[in-house]
Amino acid sequence: MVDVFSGSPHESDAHEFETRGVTFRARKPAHA
Amino acid sequence: MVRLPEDLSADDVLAAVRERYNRVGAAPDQGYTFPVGRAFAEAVGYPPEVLDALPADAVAAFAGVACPVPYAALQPGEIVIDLGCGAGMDSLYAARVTGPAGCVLGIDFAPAMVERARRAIAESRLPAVEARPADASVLPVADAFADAVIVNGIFNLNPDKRALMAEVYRVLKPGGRLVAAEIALTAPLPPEEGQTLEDWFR
Repeated sequence: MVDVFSGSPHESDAHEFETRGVTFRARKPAHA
Repeated sequence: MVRLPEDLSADDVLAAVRERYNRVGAAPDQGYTFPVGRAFAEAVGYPPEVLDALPADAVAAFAGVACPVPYAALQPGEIVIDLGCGAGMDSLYAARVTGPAGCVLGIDFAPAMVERARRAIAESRLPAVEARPADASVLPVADAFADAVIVNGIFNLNPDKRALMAEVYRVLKPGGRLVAAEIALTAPLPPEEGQTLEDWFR
């Protein structure tokens, strides 16, 4: 387990961040 | 536009974001209410060997939320904008793929981050990558400039997400793609949160 908050004041809820974020993709229409 | 508390304007929020990330760019190890640096980059999916190959100063100030570059399916020769490039980690990661025939333009509105990114770019000696200071909703490029836009966690920081998305749309070539990593709420915020500028950074 990596302590990603080393050195921080530990005020954030992000330490419960288990989803590795949300990555979304979009493509501009080719004939826009 | 996100609904803000009555005493906060979108400009107030953006000024605070710029100030906060300027501090990260100048002193990434000072402790923030959001994670910064290599350990977090590894935790959100950056392969250690990729981080080893990037300038340590850029990795030390990593303040993204995930690892979007592999999702962009970049090709040698492509033109890429790294929107909210911070210390330049994703710009350099992308430039290793796009190569000398391509171009990566990192954009950030925090001057200390741009300065750090420029140092990292110089240290990397990679061609065809640069960092410029600019507002993400008024990009200094022509229409249909980029094959791909990469975003690593700036939509959540900007109250006017529609303006950001419109600018991304403008600068993409027809058929070009956006890959964005973001954080998202899984439930509504409690009413006592989201009231102050400090809540913006939790």
